[in-house]
Amino acid sequence: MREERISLVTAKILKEKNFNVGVYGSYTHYLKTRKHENPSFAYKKGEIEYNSDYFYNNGGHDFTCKNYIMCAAPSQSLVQHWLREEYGIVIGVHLHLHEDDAKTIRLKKEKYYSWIVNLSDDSYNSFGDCDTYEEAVEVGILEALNLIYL
Amino acid sequence: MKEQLIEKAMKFGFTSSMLWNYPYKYSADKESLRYCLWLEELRRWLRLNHEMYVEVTVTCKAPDDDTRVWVAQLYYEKLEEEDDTVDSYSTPEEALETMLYHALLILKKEN
Repeated sequence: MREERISLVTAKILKEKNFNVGVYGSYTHYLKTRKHENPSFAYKKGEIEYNSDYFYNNGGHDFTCKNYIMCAAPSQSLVQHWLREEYGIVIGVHLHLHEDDAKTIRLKKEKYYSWIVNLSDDSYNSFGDCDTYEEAVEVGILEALNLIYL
Repeated sequence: MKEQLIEKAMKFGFTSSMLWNYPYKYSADKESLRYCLWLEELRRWLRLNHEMYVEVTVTCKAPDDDTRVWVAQLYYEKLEEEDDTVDSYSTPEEALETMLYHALLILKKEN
């Protein structure tokens, strides 16, 4: 069983919001093309590489420079937990069932939407009409990150 | 409940290394965090393998009451209406844990 990881877009925003948790997994997004006689040192602009080693944003393994950006790629579950513990933002996913389907639930065919509760002011928002649970969580995380002002 | 749930999940073939190898730095209580992430994985496994979906929601505070309540609900196609348990708990982990246990009991009955 593998965890569902956040996307590169979310990972970059998470880094901006000072997500400083050590995780196994990181993205490297190449901003320039580099040719090299040894193919393992060459890369292409726009290329995204995933590495499963231990990584810490802005830590010793973060070699972000003008040629590439590195950022931690935590699981969605961990980010949800971090948002709740650090900022009191709870993300959940609701399964949308049509009335006709109330008795016959087919998870693969239903729509999911995410909701966010900010425990500090009790505000509630819901987003999206996603085909998969993971997609809905991702939308929820992105929206929750928008609520964080540093 | 924790040990029972882990044992039951393993009997159904759910495996996750989440309980042992996550050296996260931010949590003082690593064991609790690992268990919390393990619960999320089990929830995902039930959804993908058995089409069971456990939903946890939080209620907002009432004006005259400062307590917040977490509610768990299980969606499952084969579930009889009277078994459609909805209950409230003081933490999200407790809500999720109890409902996952309930889901595994239903699976056990089916097998």
